[in-house]
Amino acid sequence: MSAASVQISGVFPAYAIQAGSGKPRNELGIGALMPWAGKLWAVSYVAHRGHGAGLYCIDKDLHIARHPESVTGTFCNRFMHGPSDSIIIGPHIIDGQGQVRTSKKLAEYRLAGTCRHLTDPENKVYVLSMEGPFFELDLHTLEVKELCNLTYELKLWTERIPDITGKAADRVPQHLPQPHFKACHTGQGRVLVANNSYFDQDHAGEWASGRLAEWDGKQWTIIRTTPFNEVTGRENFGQNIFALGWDRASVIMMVLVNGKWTEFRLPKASQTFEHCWQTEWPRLREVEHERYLLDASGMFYELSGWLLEGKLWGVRPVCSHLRVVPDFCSFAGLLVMGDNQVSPVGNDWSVGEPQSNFWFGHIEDLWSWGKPKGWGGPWWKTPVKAGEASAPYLMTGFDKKVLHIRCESDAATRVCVEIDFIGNQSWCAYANLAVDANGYAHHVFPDGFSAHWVRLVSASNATLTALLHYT
Amino acid sequence: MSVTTISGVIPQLAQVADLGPPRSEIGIGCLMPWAGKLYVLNYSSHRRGTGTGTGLRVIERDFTMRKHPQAVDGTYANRMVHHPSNQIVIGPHMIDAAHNVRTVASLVDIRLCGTSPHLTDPANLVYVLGMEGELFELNVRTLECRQIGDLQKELDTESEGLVHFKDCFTHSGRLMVCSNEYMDADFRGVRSQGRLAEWKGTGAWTVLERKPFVGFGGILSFGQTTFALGWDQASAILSVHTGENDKWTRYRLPKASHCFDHKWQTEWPRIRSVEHERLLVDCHGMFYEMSPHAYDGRVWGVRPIATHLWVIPDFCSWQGMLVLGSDNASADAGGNLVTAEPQSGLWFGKTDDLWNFGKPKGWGGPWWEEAVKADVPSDPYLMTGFEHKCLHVQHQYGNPVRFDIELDFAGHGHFHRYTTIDVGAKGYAVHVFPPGLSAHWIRLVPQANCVATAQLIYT
Repeated sequence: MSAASVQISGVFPAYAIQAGSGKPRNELGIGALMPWAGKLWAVSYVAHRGHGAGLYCIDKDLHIARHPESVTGTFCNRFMHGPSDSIIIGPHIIDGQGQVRTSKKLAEYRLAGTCRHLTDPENKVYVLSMEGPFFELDLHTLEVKELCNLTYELKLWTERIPDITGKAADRVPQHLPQPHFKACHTGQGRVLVANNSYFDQDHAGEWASGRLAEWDGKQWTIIRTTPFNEVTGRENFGQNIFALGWDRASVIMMVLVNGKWTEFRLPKASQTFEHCWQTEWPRLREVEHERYLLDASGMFYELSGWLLEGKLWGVRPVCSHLRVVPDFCSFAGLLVMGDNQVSPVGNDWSVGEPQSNFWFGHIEDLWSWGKPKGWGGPWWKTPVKAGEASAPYLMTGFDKKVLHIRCESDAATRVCVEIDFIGNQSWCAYANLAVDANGYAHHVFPDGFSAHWVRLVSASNATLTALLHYT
Repeated sequence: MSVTTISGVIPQLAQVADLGPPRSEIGIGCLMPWAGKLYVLNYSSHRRGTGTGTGLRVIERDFTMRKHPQAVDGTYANRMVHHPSNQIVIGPHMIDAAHNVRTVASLVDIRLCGTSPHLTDPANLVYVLGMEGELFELNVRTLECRQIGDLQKELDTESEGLVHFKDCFTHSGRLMVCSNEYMDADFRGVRSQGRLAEWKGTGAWTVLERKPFVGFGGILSFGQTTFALGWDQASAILSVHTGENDKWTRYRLPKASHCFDHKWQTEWPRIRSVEHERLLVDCHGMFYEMSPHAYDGRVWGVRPIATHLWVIPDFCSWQGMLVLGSDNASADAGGNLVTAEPQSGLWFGKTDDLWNFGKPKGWGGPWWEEAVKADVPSDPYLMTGFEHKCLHVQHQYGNPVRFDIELDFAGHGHFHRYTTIDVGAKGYAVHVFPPGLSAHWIRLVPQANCVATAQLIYT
């Protein structure tokens, strides 16, 4: 029997990407997947330094080969550049004949995203690195120009620290948040960037180092200071833009329609996507025609890129999951996931050689993964104003549901539970819960009760925590 | 050849378009088993200018696949067996039992969405419909092809880019056509360009519905019963014509997904016979089993099987397998910058594998901001086969309104009052059905005129 033919639950063990046992050892994730020129291309990544990562291609017979242009680094960007008819994956530019060129300068940086250029889209793209340097890459000459460093532009640091590249980024001074940029996207005439920095100090409220920010080509504007993992969208369908992040209370989904942001919230299926290092790259990707598959805090959802009336609804939970999935795509009818598995980081003496593998399956296989369940809500010790509604929180598609509310003010309040059963943010009062001063209340929704969205409105000013458990 | 199967997908049989540019999508529009082979015909988004390397493929019993030398690029989603001449019509091609393929040159650049028997000369002619509303009469023997209608004019629709015909079907002495045209303006109710229409072979066309409809089905030997699938704001729609009383009845079904609510997203949800003398229905992200026969002019026993995530433009039964075609990765002419090479897969399994897809769930109901009249019942809405159920009702009338909830537990159209809910002035009420409560159909009867929304959520 050929080892290459052994397939177990969609995994071909022979295709594992392994770093070997040499030092330094940290992790080996599969950061970006892109079907192109008859093959599936993949790049893998180490944490900061390491070895064994590279560029891979897989054909339709599912034979895998490591490409000679492979370089070890940290790469999670993928982008289709129409005008030059090439893809950008990691520091590599691959043309329609499968010829690979590599930007040696970009290979020195941890690459988080690539997006369309605002003024010269024919020839250039923007490339974002995790430490904040924001580049423009000329796809013909491979010239790389650093346009700015977002760590300073977006005020993560107010003091200058010399030359923090990807390989030195783990030497960030203790008193500063580590920048951890994760994604970029161009749409609606602006560039959006996401940074998911999140540490004990963020949880405790001592600093707020996450970022969702935009650039009109002249000025950077900070939109949110909570951590964001993903920002993406389509070039058409109204260029609606979706950004995914989180805070203590829940997953945050920001949607930009016609220049206006709206905030929605989703449950957290897992508590293990709660530190900026843990998230890897939860993605919003199109794997079926004209619809998205979303991976957020351990749960997959289906949603439409078209937003009728500019409103978001029909966010359909599919399953919760355990695999860490930095990227996924559709290839030859298969849903393919890149993973991030064995990581001997820090003092984890229980794991050895860094290695990760691909998963190949059918998208409907997801239904047999974990039942959609999760924790979260609109408020976590939030100073809530009387009469001001919370962000809509996802309710549809979950089985059993309970709402807990805690008041941390010295005056009692009444919280109205409003539901939107149509989806387009038309609200109906469903119930009122009295919450004592410094008190607690809960409501178990009857079996079978469901709606698209739920939100809360407090009758009085109060500091409130409101979390729903879906099981 | 060594075949790799992963969860029913054979990657070597994926339909992959030329890398281009141009690159848009490659959807599997037609799957037709014929004389020992499986014919696969796929489509780019808008004629050959939006993608090449699509076209006719042939899969043999040993799972080898080749592109047919007659393959042409274009947008094709029509298939039909023409029994009198013992040929199939698939896209612009005619294929006989010896696998001789002929191609109708004048149809290559039409986006073909339907083929159906001719009303007066079925032995020699078929109707062929283009997505832009071009209606042809094709002689399957001589290949003579003649345009006999422009449905943009006949059905008073807007023109190319703003019209989206999807299917045609011949039954009970008439030709049916449908268009699923539907965009934001249709959703907002300021436009209604969807169509369900019929023609008796001469004279004017009759528009039956100005809502989006995507496809037809039926096995006409069972009482000339014809099924049409569509949707509106409120729900998916199953409209049924029963031959015995020459009557259309509208039923409503849940939407399992919100990703079939724009005309471009639907592709081709189908009603096909994949098991003997019964129908498998794919509608708005959910599969159902349904009988082709309607006793007493009524339909019941519409059995939800599974929700799904794949976009499935066609499916068929071949060599004991259920085969699903897909429309997966779409570069969409640069609309989608993280997807480059258009490709779609084929899934091979057995029909009962569908039970392992998603649990039947859905949103929908009889009314969405609908002006309803006192004592006039709503359309029947499917209730059977879903586990947890709740009903939300809201109205905009200045006085309280009572709504009777009526159930049809036998299925044949006899409704009984189950309960009455009171909804305050411009108010809202919810009814959660107790676990275990089920019936074939549910409907609502308002006791006053009002503008009401009623939606059921099944989980």
